[in-house]
Amino acid sequence: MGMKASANEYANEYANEYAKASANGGFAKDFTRIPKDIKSSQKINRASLTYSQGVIRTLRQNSFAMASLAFIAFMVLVAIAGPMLLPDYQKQDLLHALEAQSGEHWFGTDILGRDVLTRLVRGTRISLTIGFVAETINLAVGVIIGGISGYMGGKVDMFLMRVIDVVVSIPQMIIIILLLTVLKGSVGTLLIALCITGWTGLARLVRGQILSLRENEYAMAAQVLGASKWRILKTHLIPNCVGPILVNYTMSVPGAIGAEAYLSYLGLGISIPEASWGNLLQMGANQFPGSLWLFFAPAAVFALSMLAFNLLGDGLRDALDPQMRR
Amino acid sequence: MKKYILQRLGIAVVTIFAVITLTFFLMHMIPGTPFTRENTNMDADVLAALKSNYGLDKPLWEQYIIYIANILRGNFGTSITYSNRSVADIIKTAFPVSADLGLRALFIGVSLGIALGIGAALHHNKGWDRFSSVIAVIGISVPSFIIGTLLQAAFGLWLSSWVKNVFHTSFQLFPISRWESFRYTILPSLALGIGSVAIITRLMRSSMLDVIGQDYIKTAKSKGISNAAILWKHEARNALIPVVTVVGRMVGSICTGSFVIESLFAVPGLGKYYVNSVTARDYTLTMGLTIFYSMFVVASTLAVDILYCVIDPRVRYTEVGK
Amino acid sequence: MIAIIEIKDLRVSFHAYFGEVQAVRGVNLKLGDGDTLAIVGESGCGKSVTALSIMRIHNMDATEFKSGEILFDGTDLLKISEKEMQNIRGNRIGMIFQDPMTALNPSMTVGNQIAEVLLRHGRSAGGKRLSPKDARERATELLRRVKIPSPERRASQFPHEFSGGMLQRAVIAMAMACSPEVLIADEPTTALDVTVQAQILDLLKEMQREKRASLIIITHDLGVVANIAKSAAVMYGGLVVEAGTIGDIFYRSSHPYTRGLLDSISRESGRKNEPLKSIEGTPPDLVNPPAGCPFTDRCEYAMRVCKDRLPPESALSETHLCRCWMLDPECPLKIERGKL
Repeated sequence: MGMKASANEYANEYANEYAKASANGGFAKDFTRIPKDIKSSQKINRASLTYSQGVIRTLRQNSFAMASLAFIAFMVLVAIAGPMLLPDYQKQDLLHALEAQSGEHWFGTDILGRDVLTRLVRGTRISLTIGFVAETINLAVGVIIGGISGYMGGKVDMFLMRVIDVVVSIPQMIIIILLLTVLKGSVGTLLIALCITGWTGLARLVRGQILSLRENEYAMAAQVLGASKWRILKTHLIPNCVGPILVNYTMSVPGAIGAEAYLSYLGLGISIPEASWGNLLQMGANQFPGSLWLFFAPAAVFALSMLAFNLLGDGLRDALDPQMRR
Repeated sequence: MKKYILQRLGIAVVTIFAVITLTFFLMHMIPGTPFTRENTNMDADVLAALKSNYGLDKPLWEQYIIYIANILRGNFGTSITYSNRSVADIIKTAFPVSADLGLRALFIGVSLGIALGIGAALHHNKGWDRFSSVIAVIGISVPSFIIGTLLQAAFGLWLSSWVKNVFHTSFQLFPISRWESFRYTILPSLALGIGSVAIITRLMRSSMLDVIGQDYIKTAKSKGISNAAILWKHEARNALIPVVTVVGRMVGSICTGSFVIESLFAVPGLGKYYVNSVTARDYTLTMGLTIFYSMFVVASTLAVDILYCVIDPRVRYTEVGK
Repeated sequence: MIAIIEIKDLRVSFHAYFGEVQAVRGVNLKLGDGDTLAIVGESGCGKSVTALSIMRIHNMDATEFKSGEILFDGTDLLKISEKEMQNIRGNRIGMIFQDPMTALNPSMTVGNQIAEVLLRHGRSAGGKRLSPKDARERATELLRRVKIPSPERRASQFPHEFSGGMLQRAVIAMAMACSPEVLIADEPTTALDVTVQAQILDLLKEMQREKRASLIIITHDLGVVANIAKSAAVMYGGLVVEAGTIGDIFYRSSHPYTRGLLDSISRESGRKNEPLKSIEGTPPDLVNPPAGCPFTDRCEYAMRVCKDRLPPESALSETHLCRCWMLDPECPLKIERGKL
């Protein structure tokens, strides 16, 4: 038989091992009976974390994401408190136009002698406001429409999805530019423009989550077990949605901020004397490369903020995906 | 599959119709006429003549129907600022330039992005992966106009002054404005393409990582196939499927992204005309170009959707199954 | 009978973010030429890892072979180069995976996927490499051989156009395409409908007989073992706890775990109204596995020594091995062999 040789071998090996152990004084074999220990058999020898604990732990370990979070918090603080601490951002001083960095003007002055730092702080307030407000509106609209679509199903769902198909197909930037030709370039106009098409992604996401929940066996099981609709919503739908929505939000804010910068850079967005990152960049580029600081100061602040939002979004997405944990 | 394509086609037609309608009514919401913007005291007769010349004296709905009928005939009207040039004529001369720029940028984005993404996935969590992640995040965070401005400074200013000092000539290897020969195309294409490099790198990387973990890769390995063959025939091919859709959607963003690059590098493409028409309030040109852009983007998305269901047999099947 | 595959003291670990998983902790196995060996056990006991180690196809970045040898026809598979290993995979050792729905490339026709392995290893009668056309023809022939109706049409279809059972036939055709000496089947029927399972097992047996291949079948289904295997190894906690012929395992089982497994299957001849028994608890976590016998916590006969020390492998007969302290000559507690 196939096992013949091996069985003998192992028998010998065992005998040898046993002999060796005996020669070394052996080991005391305690044949006292002990009871079964089912609990201990089910023990998991690895740090056991709840889902949200795991997410927070992974996120904390991601130094890029944490640094980004700190940077964003700092920028928000600057946007709120900065303009109160600094002088009027529109104050002109033509005698000191296009001056380089100095103790008085840390980032120099622009063509009308306005302090670049002060304008940059004001621009931070405007740009971040546009980013956060636009995406918060999109979030609300997206969740409501996606929720209605997924919850109602049937014809309502069909109709809303076709509407979304069409809205998504329209090139977003073109619609925004079109609106800006009709309306005056201001924060309000930009918000309207960014919210016309911006909600579709979240609406699809929320609808998808609801539909997959409907088909999911665990939700069905919960229903069979008599869980109320609200309970299913609370324990299954919301936890499943919060993560993707959070990631989507974090990744969309820099999109809106970037769109503002892009439009203002083209001269279609926020117009001077109001300050935004976009029109500061435009002015900087016009004076480039004669007055480097005028371009590099807003460019650095802008790029770092975009980087921070993207890195935080990446970190969140990785942390929410248990498979990505390492 | 037929049903799927018909459905996509239907959405495309509705989209274009929606854009035309939206454009038309938005433009007519603007108070006054295009001719009153300069605050000049225009003679009433001249104004009336201009109005009837542009068909603005008719009721709105009639104008709307005429407008749609004209667009279906390929007639987008006449530009207001570029006198005597029809919008169709401007499209005819400027679109090839924009398409050229866009295709170059797309080529850079697709080739570099796929290469970087595959490299990153194959060296998951190692040096190469981190390097391409950094490139990708920077490419997404720094918009094309900042990259364009920096490229202009680097090549137009610093490099050329260095060349001047060392070789005593004023030769510019990569000129920073206009669109004449191959040398002129490098910097604008690069500035426009870097964003898509970033997006495709990230997508290709995650798509590759997903495919590498699939069972069928184990099966392919168990057949004794060489690593190179597994990479191309099994991994890259399947990983490319989701990338194709994104590249398709990217056509739109590259088109609109080129507005700023064309302005920056003085490229005589559609984007430059578009931005100028908006700032100069040349409504017919803005309307015409808006509709043309939308048609182009919608058509290219449709083409990619169809291509997608050709390369992914699963889509073909599920759509037929319905 | 000579052994075609012999595994000696194999130890394999995975490195995950939560630590080192000691998936295989010193496994000895032998597959006789032409034999069929079943590796049995609950999920997470190391059976698949053992089998995949023979092919060396796990994620190599995270896997570490800590010790041991896998002798295939005298060559240690853990020592040869990747290139040499590629010449063996698909050619001398074939593999069948659990879920046919995910085991095939979704964007490649089934025929092409079979042809691929033929193009890689196959030789025509004259010893030349096959042309793509010949490979396609042979692939169609193989599909016919595994009783797939209208193989010409099927060859040009994609995996999602097949049913699970049909697909597993195609996978078997692919694994058998180059007439390998050894076939490893990792739970080949688990993902299939019960009605199809028997057909697939019959096909496997038939193909094995025809190609004179040796077979390693990994399963948690003792019914499959009884149906197809000549010998079996019961794995638990990364170790082989009992190995022997089918008779040894089914009628003379000596390990409490094997007994538990046998008790937990329903038998036609079983006494009526007797509830099915199950083994309470779960297998140990193989991150920091227990020092003693891994089954101790779930074992009715547990003793102090079981908790402290790993029992050695004792030979009960020429074919029968078991790892249990009750087999120690000094142990006062004796398990009644084979009494079920």
